[in-house]
Amino acid sequence: MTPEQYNKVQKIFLAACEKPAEEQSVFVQQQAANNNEILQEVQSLLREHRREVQLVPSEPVNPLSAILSRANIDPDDFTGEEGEASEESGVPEGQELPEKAPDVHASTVDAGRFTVGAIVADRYRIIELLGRGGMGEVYRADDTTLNQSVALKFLPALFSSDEKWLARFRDEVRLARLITHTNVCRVFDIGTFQGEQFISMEYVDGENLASLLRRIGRLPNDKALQIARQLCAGLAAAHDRGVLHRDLKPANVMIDGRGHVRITDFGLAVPIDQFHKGSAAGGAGGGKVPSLRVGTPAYMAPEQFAGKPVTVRSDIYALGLLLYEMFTGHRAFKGRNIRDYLHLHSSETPTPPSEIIEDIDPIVERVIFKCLEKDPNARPASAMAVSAALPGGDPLRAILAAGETPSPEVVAAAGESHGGLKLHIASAYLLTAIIALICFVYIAPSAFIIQRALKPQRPLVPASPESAIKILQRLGYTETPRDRASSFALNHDYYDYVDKNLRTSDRWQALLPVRSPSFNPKPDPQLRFVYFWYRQSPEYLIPLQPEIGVQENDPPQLLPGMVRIRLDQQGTLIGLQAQPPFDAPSQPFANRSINPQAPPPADWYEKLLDETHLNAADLRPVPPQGALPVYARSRIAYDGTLNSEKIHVEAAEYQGRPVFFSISGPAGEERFLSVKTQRQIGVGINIYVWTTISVCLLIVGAFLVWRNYHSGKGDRVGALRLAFAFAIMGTVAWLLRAHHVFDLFQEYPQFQRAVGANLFRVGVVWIFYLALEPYVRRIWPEIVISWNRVIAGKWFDPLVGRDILIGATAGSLSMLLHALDMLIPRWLGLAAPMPDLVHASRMVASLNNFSALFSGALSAIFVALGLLLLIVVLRMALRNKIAASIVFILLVIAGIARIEGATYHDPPLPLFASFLEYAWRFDYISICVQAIVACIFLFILIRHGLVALFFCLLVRSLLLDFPITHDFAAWYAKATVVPLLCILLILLTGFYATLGGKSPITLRSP
Amino acid sequence: MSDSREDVTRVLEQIKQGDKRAADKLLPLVYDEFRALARHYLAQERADHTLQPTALVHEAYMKLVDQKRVDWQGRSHFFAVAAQAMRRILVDHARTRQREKRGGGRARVQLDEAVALSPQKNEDVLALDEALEKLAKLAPRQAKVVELRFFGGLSVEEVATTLNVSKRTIEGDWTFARTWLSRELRDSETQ
Repeated sequence: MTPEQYNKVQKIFLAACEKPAEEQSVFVQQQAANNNEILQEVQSLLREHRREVQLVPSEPVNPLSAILSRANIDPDDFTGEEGEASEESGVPEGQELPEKAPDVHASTVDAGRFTVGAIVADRYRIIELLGRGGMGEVYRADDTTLNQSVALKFLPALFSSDEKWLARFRDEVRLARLITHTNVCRVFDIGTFQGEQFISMEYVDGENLASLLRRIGRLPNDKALQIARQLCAGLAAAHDRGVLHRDLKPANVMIDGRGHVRITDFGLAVPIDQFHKGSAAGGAGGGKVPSLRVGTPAYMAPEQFAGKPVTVRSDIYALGLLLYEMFTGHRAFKGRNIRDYLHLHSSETPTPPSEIIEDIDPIVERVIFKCLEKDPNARPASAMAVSAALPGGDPLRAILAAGETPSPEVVAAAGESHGGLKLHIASAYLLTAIIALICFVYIAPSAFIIQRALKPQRPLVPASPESAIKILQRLGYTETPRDRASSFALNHDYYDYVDKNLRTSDRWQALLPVRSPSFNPKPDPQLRFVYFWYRQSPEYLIPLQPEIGVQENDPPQLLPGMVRIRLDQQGTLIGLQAQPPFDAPSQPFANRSINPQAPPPADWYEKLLDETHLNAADLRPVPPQGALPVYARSRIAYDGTLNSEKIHVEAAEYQGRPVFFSISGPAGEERFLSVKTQRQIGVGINIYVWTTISVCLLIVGAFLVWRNYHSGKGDRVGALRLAFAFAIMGTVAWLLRAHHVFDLFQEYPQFQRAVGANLFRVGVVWIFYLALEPYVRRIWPEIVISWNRVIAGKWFDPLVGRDILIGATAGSLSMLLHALDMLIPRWLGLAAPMPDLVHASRMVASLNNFSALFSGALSAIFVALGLLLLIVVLRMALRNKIAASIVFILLVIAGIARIEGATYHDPPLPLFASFLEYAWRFDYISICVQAIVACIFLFILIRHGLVALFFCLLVRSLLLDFPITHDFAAWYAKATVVPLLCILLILLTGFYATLGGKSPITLRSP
Repeated sequence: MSDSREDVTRVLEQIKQGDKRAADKLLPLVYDEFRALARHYLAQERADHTLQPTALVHEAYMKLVDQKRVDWQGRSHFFAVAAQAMRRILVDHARTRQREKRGGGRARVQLDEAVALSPQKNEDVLALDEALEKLAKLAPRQAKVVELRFFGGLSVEEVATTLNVSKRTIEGDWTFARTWLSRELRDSETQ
């Protein structure tokens, strides 16, 4: 044939191609009727053409097609395996290819839409066509505005015409743009050019994983692990932002020249079900699954085939396939078409990698199979869990190395491999703690002032509400009050007096009762250091501080008819103050003082002396001193001696009943029932400074919260859970502690105030957690691993158990030290340190004691978080671990000094002043002990984290706040059982959890 | 490098000015550069997308031609020659490989992959080359279209510019030539 004839052949052939298949042969015969040669040639070519068209969905049998399809490498199909071209995104299952398939095919062998050098959207100069696939063409381009290389991805026109799809696509891009992670290819912007959508994104100069695998087969184990970890980190970062990949496959993983991994096309595989609904329904013949999926069949999870919602775990499945391929060099599943893949992914298990590669780590194999579970819920919950489960997995370090802030989940998932303790170590801790506790209990009664101030024997008439009521009745107060309250309390006047005036080693002895084996009916002034108060009122007692409850001075003794008395531990009257009833006739002030010489110590006075067990013979009348806090008709005063101590007695009467009585103690300064103002926190300039600092801190905190909240750095869920736990504990503590009344009008405002105070605390905790916790996570995430697990609800995680056990053990040990700190100076004859003052109200076993558990826990959280922030801020400021540690220890010593140095009436001194005073006032044994305690805190915090420190502090507060004794016959012994049992429970919980508790992700368990 | 850049650009300018003999000088210049480029990439064993013929040709263009001095027409000339060069290189490569195989030498699989042609398909390149020769006798323009598109990686528009015919014609030529070659190759395979 000549070229001219051939031109005719081509003309007829092309024209025939335009015609429907059934008309073709007629048409060709008409056109080439006169030339048999041409006719045959055209017909042969048409047969070939039809054949070529039909083979699109199946394996290419045509060598040229194979060559051509290879020459135009498809970016989504770099594996270049046969049959892949037909499995591109968005092809409905079981559907015969539509009529226009030839066009589609023809377009895939077209060159790019743009030529090199073309300017797109007035901004990008096309450099080269990087590839092309189901998701469109990708070009490398120069951003002429910013003079940078970018990748431009043009979406197939097919998609761009669907408005709904576009809207969803824009949503995805909006989300994807928020992902800033070194292992995720950044998306910059979207744009339109000549009616077509394009995305500009980071240009990665490198090779994709598919081509790498094709080139070198499988990756070496260490390299594969490296890449796997980066994949996990990138995937986790995106999942954190709520972006799913949906189409994870080797072709979407770029590896640059330095071996850094970038995952591309995040979230861009937006489903196009809307668009294809019609055709999918039409092709339902072979499909169990009429809806359209997005993804690449070779890497789609079973639920994606089933058209079920795609979740994080679908990406985990694809990740598993990727791992399989990286470690073995083979695809987990090899199918020829989409139906094969549907079957393989849904019901087949891939060949175990160990059968392909001998030296594969069995741990890796387990992780891969775990990822490839058919049931999404059986797969690891997060990419970070996968990373953590890989050998040597420490995703935390990877993230920190990348300069990112790890998410709470990452932190919680870190260190999975070294969770619990071994049995013998755990037992050793438990044993240490119990021995420390036993020692503490043994020496506590002699070490601590309260225990020593308490008379162990149960008195004949113990101080109790009943004995108080009986005394009042005998004194003439027979009316039934509406409300009563009573508790033990400490006489801080004694305490302050000793602290200021005595410097001997046995100075606190002054506060202690004479230890006589038999009951001494004589009133013992020393028994008054710990005293019992009782008050009654014709109205409900509504305290001003509802969260603390009714105190001796709260509510103030103002209402007519209010009576309060003090008893010593033996139930002997040592003080009384009664407001005259309303009906009292008003009398001039002149009546307030009576002539001491006047005879009539009458009936009321006799009764009073009976109750106080004072001997009238030891007393001589003196003129009354000072003003009375209550209204009285007559008053008298005596001086005398009691147990060779001088005492001064004042008493007053109104309408035949005593309204005032007091015995001034040996100090001669204190005055019973004198209404001293509550301890003022901060005086003078101090209060302004503290208020200003607090407000500033709150403002700074709020600003940080705002920033962290919007940048997504703050752990919103964690903060909320912590705040919730705080609210619950605060409420329970209030419920147990508060003085409740059966009057809704009175009770409800109390409730409101308690809730208000509680919410303020909750708010502060919430603010500071959101504001500062991200920095902790960034700078020192090891500290909050178990904390984040607790926040995530994994109470019995082995690591949490370990921290509980170690923290509680450290708490017990540090309290033992503290007790020794009280004893050693006494043994050495030095001035004894200030003893701790417990809440005397906890000496009686009551609900109040349980509230102490909750408030103890609350303050332990507060202090633990505070110490954590202190060390982190110090580390940020000093940029040196050791310097930060030293300053931390100094500050903790000063802090302890400040708290201990603050007496009942003196406000706490500024931190450093108190530190100096502490150094000057006390022996250095205390400082050493405090330094050791501070070191324990620091060690526990750095080595074992926040949870351990919390339990350390909790155990301390439990042991400090209750009068612990080994003398279980003592009348207050019941109250010591509660904290001891609690600590034992804490220890056993930790012990159990660290050994037996199984974490939810037990990837590594055999 | 700058020398060859200068040379190639000057030759393209000469072609534009109507110097017929200048066109003959272009191929040797470009061919050497192409071989160097291909060897460079193959040596590095970089097998990513930049090694497609398309990319290689474009890269060579960026490298060899001073784009400020050469217009689209010159660019077409260059691509036409580049496609020819590429074809020669691929065919030579395939021949060498076949000889190595026959001589018992090990096929270096990666190299084949690197040019995005299947290792088993050395024969395909050769067969395609032969078929293309055949087609050139019957329909020279159509054969040229295949050469430009396949070996040169040119788009339909670029081919149309190079051959100075309409885009529609090129599309028709492309479809026709593909079908023709497809049949030819199958025939040669079954024989």
